[in-house]
Amino acid sequence: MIKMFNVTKRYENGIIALDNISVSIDKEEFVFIVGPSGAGKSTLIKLIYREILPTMGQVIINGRNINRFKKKEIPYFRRNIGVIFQDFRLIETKTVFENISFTLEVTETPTKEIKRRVYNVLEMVGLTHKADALPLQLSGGEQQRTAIARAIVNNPSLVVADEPTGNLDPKTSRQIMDIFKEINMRGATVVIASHALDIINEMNKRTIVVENHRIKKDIKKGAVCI
Amino acid sequence: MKMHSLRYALKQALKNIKRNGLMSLISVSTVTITLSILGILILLVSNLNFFATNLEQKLEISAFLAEGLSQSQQNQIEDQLLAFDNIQEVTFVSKEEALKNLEESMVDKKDLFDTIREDNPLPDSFEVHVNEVEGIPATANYIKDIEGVQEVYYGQDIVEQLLTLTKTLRKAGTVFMGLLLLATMFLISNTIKLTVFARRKEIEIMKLVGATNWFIRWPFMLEGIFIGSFGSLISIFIIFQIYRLILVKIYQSIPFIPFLTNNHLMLTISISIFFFGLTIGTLGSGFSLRKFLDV
Ligand SMILES: Nc1ncnc2c1ncn2[C@@H]1O[C@H](COP(=O)(O)OP(=O)(O)OP(=O)(O)O)[C@@H](O)[C@H]1O
Ligand SMILES: [Mg+2]
Repeated sequence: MIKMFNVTKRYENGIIALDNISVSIDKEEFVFIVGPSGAGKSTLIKLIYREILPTMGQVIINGRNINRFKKKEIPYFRRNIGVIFQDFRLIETKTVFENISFTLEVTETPTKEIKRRVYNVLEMVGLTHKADALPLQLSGGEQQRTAIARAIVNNPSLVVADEPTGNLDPKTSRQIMDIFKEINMRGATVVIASHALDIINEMNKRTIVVENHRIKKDIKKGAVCI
Repeated sequence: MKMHSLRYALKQALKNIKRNGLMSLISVSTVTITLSILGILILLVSNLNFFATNLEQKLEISAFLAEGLSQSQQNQIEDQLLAFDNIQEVTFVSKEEALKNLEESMVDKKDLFDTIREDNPLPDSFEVHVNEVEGIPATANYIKDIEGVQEVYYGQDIVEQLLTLTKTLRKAGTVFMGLLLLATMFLISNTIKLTVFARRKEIEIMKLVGATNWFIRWPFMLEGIFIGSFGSLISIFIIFQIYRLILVKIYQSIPFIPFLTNNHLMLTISISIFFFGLTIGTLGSGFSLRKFLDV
């Protein structure tokens, strides 16, 4: 599903965020990416949904090299990937409902079906009562849950999340992790960048440790100790 | 585009206009104000043109004939006149008619004419209308050399001055109109650029969740259509109100100046303004988007 070969990412300002890393993540895997702040986790995530391109090396997603997309293909590629951005990226002028439904509108889903599915995910993340609120009227945790709902509403085969529990209390975090577990069980590949070590340990999943822009450890299962 | 997307785009466009209320208001106002100024200027330049053409049409050449020409000689002169390219129309004015015309223009000097009528000193003449006023001097030269024509008169100084004046007015009007057209385009498209820029984040997010460029573009372009057509409709209303006011004011002080009020011209200007507003509204948003769609 995800393959990276000798990938280096150097930003325009010269900072090297990823230094010659190689990773392989299979279909239906559940993977955490951990590491200190500034290690390069978000950069790795951004490569997966092709917000950025590698400076060197190859990134293969679903069997396709992200360097080789035609412009027209990119939107269709992204529709298969649910992304939860570290900064949420909700559209401020749209309500919670509209932010989520937009993902379905672009695929021309019938209006009735859209309603059904949006309320479905809103219930999953516990935000049904905020459907008509604007993002700025929400707490950090509520915004985060809106972002999660948007990412999973069209049943993508790959879900990538950048710090999806960063703004949540432990209880809500666990609920969110349960949602990820559920969509993983239904067949989606899940990749989560996170700091929440206690939850990661509880989950007992494959964990990739990024440190100093390189992959330091790749733990198949079990407790992470950094 | 499928029906579903069209409906969605339309709904989004209307929603966006409402939600970005201030920006929408600014855009509509910009379209209205700039197009109003442009429209009024077009009307003024058209009038200037009309005025100039009117003056020019009054210009004619008088060809005074020698005494005692026979009818066939007169016909021959007329044929020779009509053979010249620039001559459009020739009217024969007999010496009797000439005297009568003169008398009518000087009613208060009736006594004078009593003596003149006995022995009419005025010659027969042809009034010559030309196609191109610029060709008047050359035409006059040609006429002068026709046998039987004694004298040619066309008010050389006045004609030349008038021609330079109308030429200058036309040129200045056209240049000014062109400049204003460019300024209008620049102002409107810049305002649209600003509204698009204010929403660049939204555009980026839409791209990241899998929207195609056209899916994003449609609502923006429909928004541009609404703003452009609404703004231009208001400006058409303003243009004609102001034009009417100007006409009323001018007729009060100088009633004999001819002004354009024909419906055909008004309709042409209205339609042009409307489509101009609509087009830059639509294309403006389409083009401003380009930069931000590249995500
Ligand atoms: N757009 C950018 N332009 C320039 N430098 C960047 C950019 N994004 C990230 N960086 C730099 O790249 C490095 C890695 O950043 P990245 O966001 O991947 O870290 P991270 O592991 O996600 O950190 P955090 O846990 O704080 O989110 C950092 O040094 C950061 O300053
Ligand atoms: Mg990060």
